[in-house]
Order: sequence, then structure tokens, then C-alpha cells
Amino acid sequence: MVSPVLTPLILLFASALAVPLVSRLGTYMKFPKIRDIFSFAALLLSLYMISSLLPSVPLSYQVNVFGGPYGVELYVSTLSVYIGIIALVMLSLVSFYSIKYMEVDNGLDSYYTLLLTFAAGIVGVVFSGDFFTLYVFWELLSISSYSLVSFRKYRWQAVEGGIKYLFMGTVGSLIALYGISLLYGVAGTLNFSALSSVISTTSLGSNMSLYIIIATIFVGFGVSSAIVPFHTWIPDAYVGAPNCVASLSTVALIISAFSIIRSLMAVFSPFSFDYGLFFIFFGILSLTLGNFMAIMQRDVRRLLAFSSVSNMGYIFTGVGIGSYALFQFGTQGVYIFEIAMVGVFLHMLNHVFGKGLLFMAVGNFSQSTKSYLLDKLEGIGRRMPITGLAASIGLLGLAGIPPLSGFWSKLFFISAAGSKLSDPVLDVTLVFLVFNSIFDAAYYIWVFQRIAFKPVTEKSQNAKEVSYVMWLPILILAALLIIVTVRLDYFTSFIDAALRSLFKGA
Amino acid sequence: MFTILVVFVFFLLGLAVYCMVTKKNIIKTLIGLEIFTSSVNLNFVVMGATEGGVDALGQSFAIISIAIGASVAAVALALIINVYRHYGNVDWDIVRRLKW
Repeated sequence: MVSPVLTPLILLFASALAVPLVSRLGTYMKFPKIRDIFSFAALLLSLYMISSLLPSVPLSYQVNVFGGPYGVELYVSTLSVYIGIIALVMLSLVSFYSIKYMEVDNGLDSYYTLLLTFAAGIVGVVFSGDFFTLYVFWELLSISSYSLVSFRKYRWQAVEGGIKYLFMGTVGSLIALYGISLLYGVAGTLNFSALSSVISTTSLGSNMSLYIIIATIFVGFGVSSAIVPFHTWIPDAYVGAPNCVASLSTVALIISAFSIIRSLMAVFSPFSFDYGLFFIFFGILSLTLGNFMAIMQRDVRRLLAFSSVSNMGYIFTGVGIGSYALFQFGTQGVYIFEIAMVGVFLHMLNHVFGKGLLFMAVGNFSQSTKSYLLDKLEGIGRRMPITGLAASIGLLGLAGIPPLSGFWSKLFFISAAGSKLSDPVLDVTLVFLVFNSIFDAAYYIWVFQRIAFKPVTEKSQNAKEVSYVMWLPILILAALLIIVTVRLDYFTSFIDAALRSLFKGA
Repeated sequence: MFTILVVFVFFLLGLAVYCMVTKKNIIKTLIGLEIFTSSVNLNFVVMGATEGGVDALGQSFAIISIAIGASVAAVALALIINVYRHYGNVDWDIVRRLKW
């Protein structure tokens, strides 16, 4: 009997292999879309499998080749199921959207194969219980992502964005791998729980050189999560990629942030390691710079890319506040940690659904106007009412307009930073957070105003609403954002209860 | 011996970074990337060495990592071919048309 942890992975790999065969069947039956429907069904089925793991967590699966703590381990916690569900909901909707959007392209067999290996990489990364598994699935995810970004290789933008993404991302993961090899040399194992017990029990805990390892892991995965000094690939990759792939990349961003959080918190307990300041510094840097770069853009995709940078800044600042509070105030800081981390995981959900929605909406706009420039898209919301409505909900949600869920995650960060006013670091963070949340609310509403209320330009004059295959996923995402807002108490208490799984073995 | 190897890995890393930072040709940058991969793999093998033999985990990680490095190199070379088709050259100074 196969372990329930393995079934989603096996399903995704098997269906990735089966896509070319199904496609042959489709040509034989004169119904080529069967391949698209097959991939969509595989993603939905794996979504169902992952969510059915929820009642029985924590689950663990060990490949006992080497015995003991050396084996390859898959470990499923509540948070990994949570992130996995978010990612797979987004992936299935993107797969549904691509049925129409990617219709014009050739070589869709490889597109759907890459989509499914991307999904397998995501599931593997969130389920990983040691650095070995994490790295292998991380590279699977990254390689699929590089190829997907440069999928339309007849456009020079795609090739240029893809090659920049590939070089930066690979250097990043190699830096992380170097750190992992040093950690292996220091502790002799790569398993998260074994590492945390080795580091907390021996004298290694006070070793300053462990901070070099923390820095390499942070920088390595930070390149892929686009925090500021390493963010230069993201606007180029988003301009190059087809829009549905750009919505997938938002998933890749939060997966890399999640792997940083998961590996660092499990291995280096924030009670004894002071990396909170590090996170706060880079978080605030990407928050502020991402916002400032975003208002200067004329291309909508670049604007959204830089706003992704600032959203990742929120997430990193939240992690920083949490771990800083645990290091500085010990058990008295636990409540700050809880508020900040609930904000982090809620913001991950908001970021994926909101930004993924916006990229697909931009895809719809450009489908009927053939333009990505903000000046040309003015007033298009009135010509394409359904896409316009969904895009407005996404924009207002990310702006943090009070009833919508984007407001609550920002409020969690602000209240976490403001709950110890005597501490100067948290005060400075609070100032930056308040300033930036007002600032990004301003430019999202500005974009909303231009899309919805401005008089129509001649480009958007003749725009028609697209086929239902392309507006239905967007409408579902908008509905999900509203559902999260309505059932906010459920989500916050769920995340709060799940947070202890971060410290497995500590 | 252990110290010599660790220092050698560090030297290789420096070489790779130097190669990637100074070279304008994309293929030369890729060569730098490959040196980087090899030095990290070597570091794994070095760290796995103990008094009485070698640890299996480091060795197997190195082998898997070599395979991953090969697939990254394959994707990179495929992209470089496409860069050459679009730009007629493989030089980082030319591959920077994307602005604003």
C-alpha cells in the first residue's frame, strides 16, 4: 500500500509522463483539447488528495535506505497542507485558463508537462522533511519555471527574461546548496528534526559561523523570492512570460518564502538565533523600493512585478518581526510572533490569489486590446464588465481597503510591530509599515480608478468580453478572496493552531 | 587533507564567481556556473568524509546534484541558442533590451 503522502506526488509525475500519450490519443480522436482537460483533472485530483491529508496530519514518510535520521523524509504538517492547497487551487485555475489562453501556441504537450512537473515540485517542496528533498524538488520547480517563462520562445522578451531568471535563480540555489553542504559538514545530517536537536543540544548553538549558513540559505532562496538586492529578474521575467505563467510565478515566490521560513525556523530556533533583524532589514528594503519602483512603471505587468516585490517585503518583514520578538523577549514575545506569523500566512494567501487574479485579468485585457500599457487600458473595465469587476476586487484586496482580506493581513503586521512600543527596532518597522501600506493603497486605487472610471481610450473602445473559459477562473478567485474575508476568524484560528508545526523537534 | 580540500573548494568558488562577474559572453558565464556547481558538489563529498570512510548521504547528494546541474545546463544552452537566434550574438551587453 502506498503511503497517502506519496500519492499526490506519484499522481502528478505519472500524469506529467502521460500528457504526450494523451495528446496522441487526442489527435487520433480529433479532439486535441483532451490533453488540457486531462491536466486540469490531474491537478484537481491532487488538490483533493492533499486536502484529504488534513485530518491526519502530522504525517511522515521515510525512505529508509540509509536508516536512522539520514533517510529521505517527507513530512506533512498543517502549514504544508495549507500552502499546498493554495498553490494547487491557483495551478488548477491557471490550467483551466490556459485551455483558451494558450490556444494560439504550438507545443502545448511540453507546456502541460511542465505545468504538472511544476506542481510536483511545489508539492515536494512543501512536504519536504530534510534539505536533500527540499533541494531536489526545489530544482524541479525552478527548472520547470525557467522553461515556462521562456515558453513563447519566438518572442525576444521571453528569451531575455528567461535567461536572466535562469542565471540568477541558479546562482541563488547554488549559494543555498553551498550553505547546506556546510551545514552537513557541521552537523552530519540534513534532516530538519535531527539537525535541530543536534544544534540545540551541542555547543554548536553558540557558534557564530552558523550565521554564515543562515545567510547563505536566506540569500539563496531569497533570490527566487525576489527580495530587493536580488529582484532584478522579476520584471523582465514577467514581461517575457505568458500571463498565465506569470500568475504561476506568484506561487513560486511564496513557495520559496515558505521554504526559507520552514527550514530556518525548524533548524535554527528563533529563541536562540538572532536573524530577525536580517529579515526586517531586507523586508523593509524590498517593501519600500518595490513600492517606489511600481509607481514609475507604464507597463501593467512591470507594475505588478514590482508590487510583488513589495508584497514579498511584507511577508519577510512579518517573519522578521516574529523571530525578532522571540529572540528579544523570549516567551513574552510569543504573542507578537503569533500575530506576525498569522499575518504572514494570510498575506501569502492574499498575494497568490490577488496577484494571480490580476495577471490573468491583464491577460484578458491584452487579449482584446493587444496592449499592456496603462495609458491604453484606461476605462476598459466598462467594456469588459466581468473581468473589470474581478480585477477591481483583486486591486482593492491588495490595496487593503477595509472589508477585504488584504487589509487584515497588513493590520496583523502593523499590530505585531506596534505591540511593544518600548523597542526601537519595532518602532522603526512600524513607521515603515504604516507609511508603505498607505503608499501602496494609493497606487492600487490609482490603477483601479484608471481601469474603471476613466473615459475609454480608442484602444479599449472596441474591447469585447472574452470567452467564459477566461473569465470564470478570475471570478472564482475574486469569490475566494471574498470568502476569506467573510470567514476570516476561521482562517486566523486555523493558522494560529498550525503555527506550532513550524518548530518540529524543537 | 580535509583543510586543503575545503580551501580548494573555496578557491574554486572564487574562480567561478570571478568568471561569472567579469565575462561578457553568456557561454563563458555558463562555464562559470558549471564550475560553481562542481565546487559545491566537491564540498559535499569533502564534508561527507569521516575517519573510517565516507558518509553515503554526501555522496548520493553529490550524484543527484550533478544530474540536476546537467539539466540546468541543458535548459541554459537551449535558451542561449534562442538568444543567438534573436540577437545574433551571445553577449550580456546586447541582451538587455527590456526596459520600462
